[in-house]
Formats: sequence, structure tokens, C-alpha cells
Amino acid sequence: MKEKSRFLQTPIEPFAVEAGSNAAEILGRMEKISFQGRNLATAHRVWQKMLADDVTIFLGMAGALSAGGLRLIVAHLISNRYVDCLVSTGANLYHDLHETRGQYHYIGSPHADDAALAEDGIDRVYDTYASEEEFISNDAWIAAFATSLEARPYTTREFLHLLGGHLWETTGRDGILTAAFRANVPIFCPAIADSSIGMGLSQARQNKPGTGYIDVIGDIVESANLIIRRPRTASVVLGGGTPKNFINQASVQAEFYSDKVGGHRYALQIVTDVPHFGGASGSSLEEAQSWGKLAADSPRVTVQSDATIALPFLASALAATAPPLLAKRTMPVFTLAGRVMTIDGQTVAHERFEDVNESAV
Amino acid sequence: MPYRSPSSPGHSLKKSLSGKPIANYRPTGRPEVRYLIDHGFQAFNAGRLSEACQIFSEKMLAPENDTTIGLTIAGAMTPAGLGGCVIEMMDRGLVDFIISTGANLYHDLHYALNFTLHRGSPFVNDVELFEDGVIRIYDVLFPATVLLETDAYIRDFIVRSGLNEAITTSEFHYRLGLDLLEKNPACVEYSVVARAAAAGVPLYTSSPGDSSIGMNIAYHELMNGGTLMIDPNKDVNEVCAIVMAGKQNGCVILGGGSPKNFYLQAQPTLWEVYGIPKGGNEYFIQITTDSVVWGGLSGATPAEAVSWGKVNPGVLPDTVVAYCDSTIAFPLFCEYAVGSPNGRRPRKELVHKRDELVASLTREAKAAHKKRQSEKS
Repeated sequence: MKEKSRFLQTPIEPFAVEAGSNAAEILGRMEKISFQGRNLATAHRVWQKMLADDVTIFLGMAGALSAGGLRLIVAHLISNRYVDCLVSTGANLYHDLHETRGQYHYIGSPHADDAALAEDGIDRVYDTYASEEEFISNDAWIAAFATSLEARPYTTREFLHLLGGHLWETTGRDGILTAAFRANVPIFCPAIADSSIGMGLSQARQNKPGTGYIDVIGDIVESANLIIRRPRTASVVLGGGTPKNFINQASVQAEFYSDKVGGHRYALQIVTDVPHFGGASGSSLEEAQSWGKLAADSPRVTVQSDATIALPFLASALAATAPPLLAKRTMPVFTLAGRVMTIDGQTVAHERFEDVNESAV
Repeated sequence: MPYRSPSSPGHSLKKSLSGKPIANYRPTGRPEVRYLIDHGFQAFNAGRLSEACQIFSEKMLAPENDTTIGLTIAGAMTPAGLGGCVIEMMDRGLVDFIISTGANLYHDLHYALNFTLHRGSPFVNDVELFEDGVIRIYDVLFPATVLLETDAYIRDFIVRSGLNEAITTSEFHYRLGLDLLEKNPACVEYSVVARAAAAGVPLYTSSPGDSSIGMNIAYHELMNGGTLMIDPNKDVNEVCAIVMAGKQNGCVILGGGSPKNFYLQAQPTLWEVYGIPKGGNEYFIQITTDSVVWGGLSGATPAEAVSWGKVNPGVLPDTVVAYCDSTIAFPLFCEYAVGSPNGRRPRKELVHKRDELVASLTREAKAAHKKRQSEKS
């Protein structure tokens, strides 16, 4: 008989159902099945590799994940330092704040009568409801906090750290903002204006001139300098959107000023968008390589899935497999309270890029 | 009386059926559409559709290539009024045979029998529609009686035809088309099944039991003791014979589904089963909303088909997938083809050559078998 082809080395092992398996065991066996199931199992592997290596891990978060019940998973990933820097949409931080302030989102139906909801002052996020009245109270709360700050521009990193601190002091509850505050993990929110946090900030400006100013360009400089200071990075993206682009552009920007930056060393994305409509959310990680956003030899995986399916599964599996890696991790140490942040004791400027390509003389 | 019949008490169809009738759109090769596709459709799926139009019109339809062109249809295209495009393509010899879901041919009969399907809304109350005896296909609405009367016509046709043996779907649809033409000659302008019979285009259905046509053939067996059978084996061999005889082969795939597979399995049947080294398709055009990432066949790429010998390895530049709803892409595609310098070809009229082609397949297959036997011994 002809010798077996080099392509036929590893047989598919049909998934056998075993009662009482934990997520890590299930994902372990899903490595031998196909399609997005295998990709999710590969994502588990890739994240473990990130944790074992000396890299700064960025987490990008888009889509209504906080309203959708995933906020404590993200808080867990931050508190236990599965990730080192969060880049989020404004809405995810806002809906996190909503629940941290002791309010809820409610189980609803995607087939609801929206006119009836409007009459009751209920806002709908697909199959999840929330109270408009409570939202208005959040906006006022954010505005009052922003008004209490010194009247000067803040990067989103500084503002969100302070906001998380205030939220922790007033509520003592777990959430994304409070976890990031307590773990000293920076949060960037590149489209903060495009959310109720931005709307709250606009009210601050109304209350007291000079407050409610956000320096989003400072965010670009800080995020790039952060990578210049610590050039080995990894990217975990949920949903795509502006956070995906922000994490990637930081790497591209940093590369101008340091030849040690060569794109992310690892990349993992969980997206429902697909590449063939041409948008950034669905773009492939291979496409990112052409831009230098991702190193050529980087371990990488795209999982085409709704994050509400993939993330609980993946995070639960990591909770079983990652602790030894987390214990040995060499993670970056930040200070975030001031105008100038630091990473591993070095300052990270927000006014100008650190040019390490310049000769030392 | 069936519950949903229109004369059952309390049923008013007026409200839901007030939309315009769905008409069969006939492409005429409008130069503005060709201009838009050549110059305006430049990137992403517009770019892919533009490539598909150019590959089809300039290469597949080029007289010197004499490509045998198969069209596969999945998704509710005839209810959406795309039958007119198919009619025009058949009339002009731009498609040589068709593999369709049964539903597309069944719903085509409504037009042939002068029933009206209406434009409507996808956001309607289906319980109300049910109570009113209205059937919905996404945003296409029509009275349930259309189904009942079309079914009655099919059963009547089967009895009248005297068909009482195992036949191909192409034969069944050909006979059905002739019957429609006899009953209502004008329907050649708005029925795919009637036009296919007139133009000699064989119509195959890959899953004949999976539609109302199959349901009524089943009725004939159960209730009349009829012996008419659909023989899918004969369909497989006929499609193989057509593909084998093609100087070049190419396909236009709408949607995907079982018609896509049925078309593409022809080459593997030839090399894998019959030992006839025909090679794969020279051209491959697909319009689909499915994605490759779920692993299913509908979304599978031409590159994947190369590994199966369904598409020739050297021809990937002549394969293209446009990710788009066919109700958008196919009328544009047909306008482009109809208006191209190759917008009319002599019709192959394969319906009349089926026996001859299958005889030739039988000869080749037997010769290949003999050769293999002698190589073994």
C-alpha cells in the first residue's frame, strides 16, 4: 500500500460525551474535532502560551458584553492578570458601572414589542432589558464625579482609573472598572465620546467650565509608549470594533519609534464578523500581518463565535489550567493615578513618543 | 374543506395581499448596468461580482471555449421573481442545464398557472397570516389556495401523462413543461419549467422527495397505485454524461445547498467511480450568503473543491465567490451577460441528447473498467 500522505498525520477523534467533564477537559478533547469548536480549543492553547511568555497582554472588548452578563468574567481576567491592559467601548464600561452601582439588566425577549417597552421606559439590548430611569441616574453620577475633578484634560486611562477608584470607594463591589482600579490595570476607551460615559462627561462641562475634557490623542501616545517600553505584546480581541483597531494601531505606531517592536507576538480573536465583507472587525489575523500589526511567526487563532458562547467556556477552562502559569508570570507593573503613568518604574509620556531609535549620544 | 381554504368563514385576504404582484424580471442587457459593474464595482464583494460577470461573459461564453454551463439554484429564487432571469439565460443559450431545489420549480408553476404572488413585509404577524390562509416566504405573500391548486394540477398532470415507470427528474420536468405549454402557451414567457422544455434545457432536482412536486408524486403512488418513480441514479448518470461531454465545464452556483453538491459531484463520479480521467471544472462562479468558517459545503471555497478534483488546480483565477444575496447579485449578473458581445449562444438543447450522452458515458465507463481489470491481472 502507498505510504500515508504527510497531510494525514492526526486523526479526528469524535467527541465522546462524558458526564461531569469540566471546561478544560472538554476543550482539551475539542482540539481533536473540527471547525470553530477546534478553533476555540486552540484559543485556550494560545492564551496559555501568552501567559507562559513575557508579553504584555491587551484585551479588546466590543459588543454589549457587560449588558450581556460577561462583565465579571472580564473583571476576573483583570484581577487575576490574564490580561494587562483593557481597551473597551464606552458602553461596556458604562453598563459595567450600571451594575456595579447596584442596578441590573434583565432577561427579556428579542421579539418584544418595542413600542410597549418605550412606554414603560425600558431600553432593549437584543434580548436584555434595562431601565431608562436608572440610566439617567448613572449619567448624573458620572457628571457629578467628573465635575469634582481638577479642571484639566484627562486621558481615558487616567479618567477611567479615577472613575474606577471612586466607584470602588462608593460601592465596594466587583466589576470591570473596580477590578482594573484595584489591580492597577489600565483601561483605554478610544471612542469614549460614543457612549453614555461621554454623555455624562458632556454634562460635567455644562456644570463647571473646564471639566469633562478628555485627551483621546494622549491615549494614542500613551498606548504606543507603553509598547515602546515593553515591546513584546499579545492581543486578545472580543468582537472587533474600535478596540481591535486601537490595540493594533498602538503596535504600528510604536514600531516607528522602536525597532524592537515587531507586531504582536500572539493574537486571539473571538468575532462573529467575517473577513469577506472587508471590514476591520472581521478582518483576518493574516491580513493584520501585512500591516505589521502581528509578527509573522506569531501563534494565532480566530474563533468565529458570539463571545457570550465562547468566553464563559474559555475563561472557565483557563481558570483550571492557567493558575500555575499566572503564578510564574512576569507581568508589567503600572501606576495609573497620576497624569503620567508608569510601567515597571519607567514613565509613559502622553505628550510625545519615546524615540528609542535615537542614538544615546 | 381544508381549514385554510379561502371560502372558510371569516377569512379576509385583502389586507396581507395588497402588495404589488411579483413579476418575473427579464434582463435586457442594459448598458448602464454593465457600466456600473465594470467601473463602479471595484472592491470587496462588488469587486468579486464584477469578476464573476467578466469571467462568465468573456471566458465561459466565449464561442471558442464552447463551455457546457450548469446553473444550480438553491434558496427561494422563483418566489422572489428571479425566474425571469433564468428564462432569459436559457432562451439565449447561456445556461445548458440546471440543477434546482424542487421548491424553486414547484413555485415556478404558480406563475405558469397564472396565480399571483405578492410583495409584502417580513415583519408581519404569522398567526394572523395563518388565520387568513396566507403563506409567507420571508416577504413574499400568497394565498394558501395557490398551493392547493398547484398541487391539484401536478396530480392531474401525473395521471394525464400516463407516466408509469422509473424516470429521471429531467424527463419528469420536461414532460411537465410540455404540458404547461400545451395548456397555456403564453407561459413560456414567465415559467422556468415551461421555457426549459421549449429551449431543451434539462432541469434536475437533487432531492426530488424534498418538495411539493415530490409530495404529489408520492400521493400518486399511495392513492392511485401509480408506478411512476423518480430514479436519482439516472439523474446522477445523466449529469455525469453531460459534464463528460463538455469541451470545457463551468458552473454558476446560486446559494449552495444540495444542488451545488449535485453539480460538483459529477467530476468525482467520473474519476473516482468510473475511472474516467475527465478533470475538474474550468470555471466556477458562486453567489452565496454562507461563510467558509462554519465548515459546511454551501460556504466551501473553490480552492477546497480543487482538493476533491471538482475544480482544476490551474484554473483558480477563473473561480470566484461573491458573498451576496442572489436576489441582488443574480439580476445584475444576468444583465451583464445578456448585454455582453457573447450574450447569445447556439442552444445545446441537451434535453434531446440525453440518451446519446448516457450511451457514450456507458461506453467510456465500460472501457475504463476493462482497462483497470487488465491492469490488475
